[in-house]
Amino acid sequence: MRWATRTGPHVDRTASAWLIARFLDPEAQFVFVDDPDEVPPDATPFDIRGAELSHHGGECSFEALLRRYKLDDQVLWAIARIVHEADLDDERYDAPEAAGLDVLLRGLSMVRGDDEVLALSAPLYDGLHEYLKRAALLGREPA
Amino acid sequence: MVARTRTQRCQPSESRRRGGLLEALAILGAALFTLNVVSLRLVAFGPPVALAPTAMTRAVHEYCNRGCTLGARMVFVSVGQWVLLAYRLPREPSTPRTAVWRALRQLGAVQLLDGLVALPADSRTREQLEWLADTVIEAGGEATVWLAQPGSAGQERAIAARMQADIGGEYRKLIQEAGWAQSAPVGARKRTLGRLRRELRRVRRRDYFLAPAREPATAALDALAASVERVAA
Repeated sequence: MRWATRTGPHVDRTASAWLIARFLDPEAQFVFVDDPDEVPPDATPFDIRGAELSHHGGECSFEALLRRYKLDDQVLWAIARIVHEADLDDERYDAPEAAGLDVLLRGLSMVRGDDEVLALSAPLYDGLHEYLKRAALLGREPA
Repeated sequence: MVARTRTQRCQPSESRRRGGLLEALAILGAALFTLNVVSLRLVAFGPPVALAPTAMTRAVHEYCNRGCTLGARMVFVSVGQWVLLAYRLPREPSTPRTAVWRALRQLGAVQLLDGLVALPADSRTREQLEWLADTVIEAGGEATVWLAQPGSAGQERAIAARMQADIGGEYRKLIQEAGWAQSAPVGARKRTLGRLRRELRRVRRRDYFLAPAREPATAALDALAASVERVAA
């Protein structure tokens, strides 16, 4: 399946793409566009104005994906809180990791193209997921 | 988009410093036309919208902070492009109104008229205003986002000065609170330091025109940090 988002992906778009590829559509192909009108008809848009899988009610696109596909998993929601704060910085959640993640992704998008940013950020989110999973199991920060 | 600085007097004694500025401008994709030893005159074609428009101001400031004497206090680089949000929200319910107001405040948007706000355009500010426009529409209001250029440099300067003054007030509040915390017990001082540092980060983010109070505010928090350190040592 094809998925479309805006070019120059930062934290919300990279995290959403990772979520899609890992949990929703292993065959996912991503298309980057400059304007919502350029979304190909066969592609599902995300983190783009007017899309269902986008910002709604003060939530970011990653959260919209979790809700839409009922991915009711506490570790994914823990990632969602970090992504929310990195993207919106509205202090809804306590997520000190957010600022660092945001800077890393912004920097990455300065030195690599869109596809490469997705490829390079995916293992980061794999690691973040594993870390938060262990933290949830242990009830404390894993070593 | 064309960005200009007014002529500045500088004494760039080291060519390394000039190299730093040239490098910074190169990163921004700006072209430098003239740069000589006694007076620094920059006429540069600014970066595309995707780059932070304030970055040029920052580059010039950083260059000048590294030991040059500035003839004029403020280096003003025309932002050139602004992003505007025109919106109207129903009076009731008040929750979305408050949410939009809070988000605009956090972004440091300047109010031009009732229901018309502006920010220097870059990929982040444009995106944030677009999301806000969607929020307004979802709440039953009307909203449109525009990219615009000010009709005159004077008009732009006046707006920038207003934004700078507002931000200056926020920095001064931080300085005041840091001063008060100095006389608090060390535990409270440490907690205040953490809170003020987070606040400073937020204020810096919406400081698009490098308000002069930024440096003293940063110094005030550093002094508070040092006083916590001294007690711990």
